[in-house]
Amino acid sequence: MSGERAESDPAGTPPAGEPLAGISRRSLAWILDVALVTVLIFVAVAVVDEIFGPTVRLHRDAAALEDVLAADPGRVVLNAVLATLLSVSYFVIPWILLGGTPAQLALRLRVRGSAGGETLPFGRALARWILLFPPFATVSALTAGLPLVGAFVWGAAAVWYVVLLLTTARSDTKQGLHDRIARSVVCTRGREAAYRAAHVR
Amino acid sequence: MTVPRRIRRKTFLLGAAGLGASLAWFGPSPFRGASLAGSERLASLLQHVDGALGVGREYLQQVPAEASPEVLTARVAERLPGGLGTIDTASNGRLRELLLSAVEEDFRDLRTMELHGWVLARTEARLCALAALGAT
Amino acid sequence: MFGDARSIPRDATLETDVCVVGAGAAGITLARELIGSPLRVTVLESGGLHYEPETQALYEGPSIGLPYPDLSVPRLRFFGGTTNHWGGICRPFEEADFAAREATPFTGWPIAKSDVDPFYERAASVVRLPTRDWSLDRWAPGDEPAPLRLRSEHIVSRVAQEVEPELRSFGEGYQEELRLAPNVTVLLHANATGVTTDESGRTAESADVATLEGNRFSVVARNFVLATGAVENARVLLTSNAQQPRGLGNQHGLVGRFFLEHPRFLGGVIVPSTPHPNLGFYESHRVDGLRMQGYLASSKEFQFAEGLLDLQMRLELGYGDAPEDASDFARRLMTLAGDLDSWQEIAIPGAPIPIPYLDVIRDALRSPEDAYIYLRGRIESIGVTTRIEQAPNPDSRVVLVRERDELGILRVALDWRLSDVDRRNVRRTLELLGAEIGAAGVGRLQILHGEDDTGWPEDLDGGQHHMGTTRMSDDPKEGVVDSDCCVHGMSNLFVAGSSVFPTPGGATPTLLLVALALRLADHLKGMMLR
Repeated sequence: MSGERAESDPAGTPPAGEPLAGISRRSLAWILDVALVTVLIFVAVAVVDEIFGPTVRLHRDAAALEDVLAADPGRVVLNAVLATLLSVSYFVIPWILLGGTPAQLALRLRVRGSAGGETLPFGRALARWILLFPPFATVSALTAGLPLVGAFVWGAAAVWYVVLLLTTARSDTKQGLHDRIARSVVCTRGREAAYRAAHVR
Repeated sequence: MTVPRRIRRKTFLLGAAGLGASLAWFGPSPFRGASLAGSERLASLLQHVDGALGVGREYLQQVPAEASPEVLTARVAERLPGGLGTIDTASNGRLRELLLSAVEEDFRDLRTMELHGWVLARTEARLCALAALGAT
Repeated sequence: MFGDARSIPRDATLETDVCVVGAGAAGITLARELIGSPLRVTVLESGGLHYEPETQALYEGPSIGLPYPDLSVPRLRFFGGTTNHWGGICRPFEEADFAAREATPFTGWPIAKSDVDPFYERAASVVRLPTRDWSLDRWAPGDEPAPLRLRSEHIVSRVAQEVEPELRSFGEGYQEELRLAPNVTVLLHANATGVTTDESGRTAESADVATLEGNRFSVVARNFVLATGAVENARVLLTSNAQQPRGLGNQHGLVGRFFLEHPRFLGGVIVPSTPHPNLGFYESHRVDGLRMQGYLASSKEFQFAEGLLDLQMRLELGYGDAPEDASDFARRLMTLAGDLDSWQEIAIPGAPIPIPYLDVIRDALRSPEDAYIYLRGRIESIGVTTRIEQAPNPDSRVVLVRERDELGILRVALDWRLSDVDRRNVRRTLELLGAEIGAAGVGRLQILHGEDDTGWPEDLDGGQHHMGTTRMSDDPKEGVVDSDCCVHGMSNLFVAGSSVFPTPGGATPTLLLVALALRLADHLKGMMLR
């Protein structure tokens, strides 16, 4: 069982013998990762801003209130690209190399291929990242000043995360929509060996 | 065009005879119970009572003929459907509604007064005067 | 083409067809209109292409009436004139602005709006406005921001367009065009010290020119146009007194009189009944990318009924200061959480949770009050600045004084006066405004100056609009120029600019003065090219 790879398995069943991780632990890891990557992005952008000057300038004496805040559009795009690259790197690279982000590893979570792979290949890792972090914030920032778009985007973000959470909770294999599409499954590491020893014939 | 002036709230309130945002005029009342006399009841509906006092006193100076709770209450009652009866029997919410509507009518018909520079409806000026009388 | 008066041979006589004195909004507009015509045009500009303190000093003059800055402060004396620090606010006059008011003497123009309308179109292009539509429908198509919904028709909302800052200077905008014009010569550093006439005084023959370096020459022309601004136009006429001791066009002592401004001061404060009233319309803002500024005014019907002139009311939104206590702060945080626009601008894009830039945080910590600007805080008060259409007052005037400038020409002083009708205008209109905003549930207005105040407020200021000193009238006893802007009693001396306005109107003067300059150019072409 442990050696066989069911590559054409469409439903993405998890590898046998590995306990699935619970929602609360996964959510906690997600929150910690989000916080950590946000800090990284904040620091990176702050460094860029120190070198090249601030992205957002405050003109206290501007005649019109809307001119008080002036964001350099080119820099906003640059920041968006930088932040996106950092975010991708933070999640995708550890998933590929180590099977888990820093917070996931710390909480003994492993992200595996559902057809039995040790870790996700690049394409599926990237897909998983996109599904977990659709560019709501980026779209919102880049369309600043169009209030309808902003509200729509944030509404869509809220709906999206509710969908992910619900599909994860209701799945027997604890695979949310993102897991199913990326064919991944999240297990608890560390007890693996013990479990295998107990259950594998 | 000049930068928007930011008038310090406290100084402004002090200088402006303590009038706050006008919606708060008829806000939740610290007084409860319909056992108050009509005039007290009317005065109790003012939210920023201390703010109204200065304006009320000015009203009493400008219109000495109305410087008694009975007269002021009667004048206010004239603007309400049901008159004095309404003041005694209506609920706080209903009374507030009727007063607000009387105030709006006053403005529409230009029954306004200037007290300490404030352009106020006659009805609300009378309420301030009632509060000023009650405070003495 | 450009030339410099300092290099003209001393005592030379230059010949031209049209001599325009002054290269400000009116002078440049006139000169441009004559480009390509068979007429030779010479523009005499006192300054150079840029600000020069010695030339600017020629504008110095004291204020001897109501408080007003020294006359060298509001005006600029170099190519482009006062447009070099123009605010760019434009709106056309309404029909009623040209009409006489029974209750107010000296009102009424000898021309009607229909005489000026064809020129407004072209004037809008000259000042580089993107549209000629000032209607509320065009500028407030949706709900946000929108004009106040007031019950009565007596307080109205008006639109003024704002020219983009980089397009406001006529000097920068039209320099190249005039440089390339073969029939127009702009002489820089050319100070017109007076206009000389023939013996009868009916025909202007030459303009005397002097430079600060001591050069002197004269310009002979068929027609002359004074376009140096209201204060200076009066000064040139008054000091051109070689043949006419009282000055040109001054047989009835009207030159320099009826100096008009749009006086302004903070007339009242509104305490709003909600912390976020929808008043963005009254701040300078953009609609479809184009700048505008909304303001309130009394309706023309109200003005006629009350015997008043126009009153513009600008709203200045005052945002609350720092939170007073924990619950206040919490409330403001809730407002912040709800204000998506602010987040979108100050948050780093691409981060999974919105986090402000380090600079924004630093700014916020450095001055928490100002940081509230980011959050579009509560509006705690609304200042109502009134701008008055000053009633024509013959005692408000520009007068010659004994002092002479560097060129030896007598200086002028400004004796600015207002009248009781101006005071009554503010009072009656603010009383009405107070009732209107009370009825609409917007808030309560406090009028800052009492009925019994006889003086004028400390913050009384002019709008830097100088008008009226060579006013227009068909009757020489009531005006300096006729409806063609020709000086009464003369055949070939014209005046351009807002000095010809008999009343200030309820709008800024630049757009109309450009339209009148276009009209004058057409008139000159008609006269000279028959």
